[in-house]
Amino acid sequence: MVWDCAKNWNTLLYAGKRGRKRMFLSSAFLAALLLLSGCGKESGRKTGGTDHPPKEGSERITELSASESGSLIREESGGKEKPRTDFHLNEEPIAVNRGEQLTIGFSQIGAESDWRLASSASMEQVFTSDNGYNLIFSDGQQKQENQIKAIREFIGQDVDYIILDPMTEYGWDSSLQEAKDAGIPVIIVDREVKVEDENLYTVWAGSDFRLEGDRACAWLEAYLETQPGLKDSKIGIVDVQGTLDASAQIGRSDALLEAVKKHENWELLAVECGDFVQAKGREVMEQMLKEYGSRINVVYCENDNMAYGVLEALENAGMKAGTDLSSGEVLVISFDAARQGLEKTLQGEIAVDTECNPLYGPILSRIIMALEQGDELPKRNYFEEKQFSSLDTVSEAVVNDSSYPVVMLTEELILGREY
Amino acid sequence: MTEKSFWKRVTGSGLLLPVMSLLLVMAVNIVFDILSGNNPFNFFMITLQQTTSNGSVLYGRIIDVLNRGSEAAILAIGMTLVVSSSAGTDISVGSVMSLCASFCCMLLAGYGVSSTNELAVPLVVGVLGGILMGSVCGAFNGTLVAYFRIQPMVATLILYSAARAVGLLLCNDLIVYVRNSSYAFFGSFLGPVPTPIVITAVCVAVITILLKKSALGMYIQSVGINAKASRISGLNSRRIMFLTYVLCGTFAGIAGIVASSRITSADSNNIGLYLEMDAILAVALGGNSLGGGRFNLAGSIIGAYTIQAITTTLYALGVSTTQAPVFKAIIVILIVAVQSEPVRAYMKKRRLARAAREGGAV
Repeated sequence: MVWDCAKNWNTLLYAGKRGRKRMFLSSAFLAALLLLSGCGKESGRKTGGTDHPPKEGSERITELSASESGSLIREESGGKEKPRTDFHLNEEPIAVNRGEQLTIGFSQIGAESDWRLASSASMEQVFTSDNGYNLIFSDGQQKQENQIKAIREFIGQDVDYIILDPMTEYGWDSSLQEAKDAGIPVIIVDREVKVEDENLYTVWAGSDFRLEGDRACAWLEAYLETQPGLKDSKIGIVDVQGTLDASAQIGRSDALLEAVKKHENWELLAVECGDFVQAKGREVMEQMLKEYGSRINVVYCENDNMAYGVLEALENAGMKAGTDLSSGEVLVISFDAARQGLEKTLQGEIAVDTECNPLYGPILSRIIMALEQGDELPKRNYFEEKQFSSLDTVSEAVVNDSSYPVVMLTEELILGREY
Repeated sequence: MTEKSFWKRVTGSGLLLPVMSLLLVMAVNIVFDILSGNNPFNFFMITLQQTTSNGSVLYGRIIDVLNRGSEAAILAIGMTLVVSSSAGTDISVGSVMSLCASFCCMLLAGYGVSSTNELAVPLVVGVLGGILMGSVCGAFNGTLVAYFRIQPMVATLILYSAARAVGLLLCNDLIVYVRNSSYAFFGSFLGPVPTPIVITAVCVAVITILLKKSALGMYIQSVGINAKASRISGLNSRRIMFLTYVLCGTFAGIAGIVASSRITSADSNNIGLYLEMDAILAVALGGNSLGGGRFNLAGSIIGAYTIQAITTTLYALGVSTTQAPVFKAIIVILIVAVQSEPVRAYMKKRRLARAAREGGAV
């Protein structure tokens, strides 16, 4: 068998008329393949659209725009949320622009996670021509230089507002200066920028990552207090960090470091970077498991995608994710509260999932309309966020004397969410 | 360099240095484990671990090295052939991996769908489609290099920059999740053994048989050493060069499927990122000349695992992920320097001198 095969190879590899013909045939075959793949794409386009997430968006928006009132965003000093009965993210009202159409340039980081996709979808749902906006969407493909290019293009197109979700915190001074010189207000959203002159951008709106971290640690503290025998025993913690220097990583890691300092029995065994992606999260977790094994009681995982990787690594190491620490289960803390993350939370594999709200379209529309009316906005605007768990042992997380409710997760609640 | 010393070098100690480097990297772990009071062979321990969904699986750092190094090892096979035949490198393999993963996931999920539990086409169709896409990319590179005589690095630069973008187009700019357990197979376990290890073993076995049992291996080397002479002696040099690029693309396709199956999604921006550099490095660490000609496939594969062993060792030593590349660079410089021509010549000279001295004393 092998020999026959080999003979064929040999004849094929010699130069000759017969071979040349075969060569032609094989390249024709390849060309046909290329064509086929192209066709597949075209025909797919027609059918594929049905499952696309933003389909319901437009209907919903028209509904909501009727109730245009509603408070603006929670301001910095706040922190006293009252427990709420409905937990739909889409309750946020959208500000409809009744005047001349506004052109908005939006530079998005990329499409690296469900979270990011949800935020892009939210922007596209809100800034529609029906609502009085013209959205120019630019995908940065996870590269800062693409985003800087996008800002320059927006300036060239003379947009009314630039919305920037920055890939990194540093390196924005010159491009923001250009926007300022062109007289275009810049709204920074989600992640933060560190610039010499804070006046280079108009406002920042986003999650309070530090508060998210603090709430997660407060939950852990409260949970351990409810467990008899665990309160003072040693708790080994590992931190699977996000992309280093991203705002979310800094806020969440700092919160953990502080909490570990505060509790003598909490031991931070290892800190490794998982880049916010599943594959890397799994890889670093595998390594930490080999190093520390059963000394790991708590995995503090800085987003859901990495948590999926961490859960896989735990399973392949024969360990169980759960909340019963005394029987050797590993307690996984995660952030973002994306759908799959919440499903894992409902199953009890993730103990607590602190939300990082990606649906920032409505909030941004209200900020832009406020700016249009000449309202004075605080420099920093925070989103309201929730914390989910399927355990009812902890009902609130207390950070700096403010109490934040922990939402009991149900199947309906997950289905009612946008992402 | 005479023909005789060339042969002698290869048969005598061609694999010696790559194997030595790998062992040296692993020896660091023994030293570390002794210093930290663990079992000295902690790094080499392989145990059977009970898991809930995959039954009992092999577990240990060596398994990690073999498992995590799979993609680089598969790429290194193709890269070795390309380097040998064309004296150039295919820098598009990382991007092609990502394109193949995207294409495969697009087929499995259907165009424009970002997350699916049901497969749109049978698994085999998606996987073979992804691998074939790799062959097509390889054929494109091969045509440019072999028939249009474009410098390999320039020719493959096209797909290096374009393939990821094409992948994103295929996936409608989304990350496509195929949340179906059958697709996860290529990145999980076959019995107790991680599937990527099995896939790598199969790839190595197939290519070894092909190279050893047919004259292909000899042809490739002969084209790499002197394309013109090979042509005159009746070989179709261009076709052989073309073929090596097709093989390289196909292996990139396989590696892409493995990488994508690990995360059951097509993350076009991250799959295979910088992996082309690891593959080229693996070829170099394996003691192969990037100038083409004579090659040593086993060396390249050992090289790929050496790179992974360095990474895993650095994790084991607790070096933080931010500093790891620095240490990796230092180790690579050492390994490459030890294998370089002047150092080898010096060692040989010393050996000869010692032999002469001993001979003289008798």
